[in-house]
Amino acid sequence: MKRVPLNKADYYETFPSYLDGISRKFGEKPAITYFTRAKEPVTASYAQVTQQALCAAHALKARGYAGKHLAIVAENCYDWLVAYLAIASAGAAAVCIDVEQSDENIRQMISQADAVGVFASDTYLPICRQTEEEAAAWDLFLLGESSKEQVSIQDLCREGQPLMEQKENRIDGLACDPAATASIVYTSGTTSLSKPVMLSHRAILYNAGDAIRDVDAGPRVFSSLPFYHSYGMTGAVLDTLVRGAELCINGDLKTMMRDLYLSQPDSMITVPLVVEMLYKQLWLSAEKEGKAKQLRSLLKMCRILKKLHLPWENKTLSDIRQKMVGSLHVIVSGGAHLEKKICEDFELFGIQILQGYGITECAPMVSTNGNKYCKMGSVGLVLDHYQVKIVEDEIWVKGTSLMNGYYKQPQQTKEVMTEDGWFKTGDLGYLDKDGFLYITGRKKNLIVFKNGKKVSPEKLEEQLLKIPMVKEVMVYGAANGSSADTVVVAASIYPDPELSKGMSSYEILEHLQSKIDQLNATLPLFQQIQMITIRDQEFTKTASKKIKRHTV
Amino acid sequence: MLEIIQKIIFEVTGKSEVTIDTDFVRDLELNSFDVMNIVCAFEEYFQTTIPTRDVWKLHQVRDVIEYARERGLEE
Repeated sequence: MKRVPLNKADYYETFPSYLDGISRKFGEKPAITYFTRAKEPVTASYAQVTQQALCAAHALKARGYAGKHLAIVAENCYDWLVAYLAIASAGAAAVCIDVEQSDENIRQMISQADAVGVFASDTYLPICRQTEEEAAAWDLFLLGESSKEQVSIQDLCREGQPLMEQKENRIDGLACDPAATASIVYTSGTTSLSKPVMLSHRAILYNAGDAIRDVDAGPRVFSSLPFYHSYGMTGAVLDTLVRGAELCINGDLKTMMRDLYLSQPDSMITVPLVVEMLYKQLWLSAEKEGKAKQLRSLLKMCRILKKLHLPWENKTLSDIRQKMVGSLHVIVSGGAHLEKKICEDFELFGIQILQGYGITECAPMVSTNGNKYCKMGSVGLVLDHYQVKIVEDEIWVKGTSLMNGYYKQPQQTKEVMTEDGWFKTGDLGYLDKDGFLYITGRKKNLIVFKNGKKVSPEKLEEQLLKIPMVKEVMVYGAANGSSADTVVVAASIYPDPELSKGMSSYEILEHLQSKIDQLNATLPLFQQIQMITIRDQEFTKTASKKIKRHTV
Repeated sequence: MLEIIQKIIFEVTGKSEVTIDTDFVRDLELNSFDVMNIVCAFEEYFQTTIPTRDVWKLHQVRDVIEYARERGLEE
């Protein structure tokens, strides 16, 4: 299929040149907007964001952080972005920490990446200096309001300003190698299996450029994706800024809907969980107003008209959309599978859903549907700087935006990279004759949730096996009935026959439930085990004594 | 306190069979959005703010009651 990209993209080699470029090109245009508690918008222009980031970069460089690793531990906020851009521009690597993890995991991730400094918000500062050893190992910087005791990112901006003003060109002295690691991002999943992925300046910035080639997301974009995931950073922040649009940010589920309404965006970049929530709300309000039946018939009629290629656009449906999400008319969804029916129904309301596919190791986007080139059910066309081939049903990727490897894990890197530079994604899929990519499953045993997060069953099984009553266990993703493909974590347990002797199945279940409740209390909400079934027989196993998962 | 929580949960999710032992995720099959919506209603009722990181520690109705007691939130 011959394809003409919608947009021209700027490709930058390094973060300093990216900041300099977008600042020159878009100057006083609004770049980042967020809303205060009192619902007041606060907007920073391209000139302001880039000025702050570059000043802080000069300060970090002068403090000797070039070539070192600095972690960011905070919920989404404006300062998070300034810190990230400053760290990468100073020639250091920004270690992005998933703050939904437990306190212990957060500290483990910081030390695993050999970070010498940590940028933390008020909430996370105490977690990052729990022991004296840690307080000595990491220089701490505050994100948010300045305080007397702690140097903040804004202090660094002030510190770097005179250093920058001495230079003829403000990025002088900030030369970076395009192939050097600019960011270390952890793959989704539980910590022991979550790997630190090294992404270079060029990998990230070319990916951001590629992402906008076929997607017209309009002048105002809303995103609540966490910045610590590469999808949130490259897919929402960097690619929006590379084309001069305004990004409205949010990172708190509590205020997400409020901020979405306040933002009145043209598009939203998100995960299936949010799309489904919007869909559910739409039907809930229709039910409440007693109009659900009417709405169903209307949708049915439009569907038939559309199938017959007759004009199907309907004013009632677009009025409902206007009331629900205002001007929003494009949703980019990635990270997990989204039900086709939801995409089809939203389209009738006048909202186009563009699904894409990505993986942290690929910085992260590999393919995306465009406004013009779009096939429902597929994850779109492969990006310009990537090639995809299918080897025994597995998707392999090669190109400019691949990772530099897993940090300090050469063996694991070798396992996923071929000698001629192909990355084995572990996802199964195929390409159709027009070059659209489809995902059919996963090679690895990962349970993928609607928010794009993943959990490895093996890790949870390891925890469950610590309960004496559990002899054998298999953890899997089960449909929970509320929608066809909503996944919950389920465990099938074969109890120790000796320890459970004389107990009724109810007693066994009750005992196991109380132990699992204790385990759940230590896990993030989405990873909690919500269903337990008891088996009266051992699992069928392979020759190497592994449970045959697919035969259960 | 239990009655208030029952009322809030009913208003937000339409679920009515709520006791002190009810687990939000396991028993009511709520997702993170539902839990957050309950928290927002709770914050509004008590005119307080619950940090997001604390929310994930509240698994059961009893945890909410305990949390409210620790913070001196009165009916």
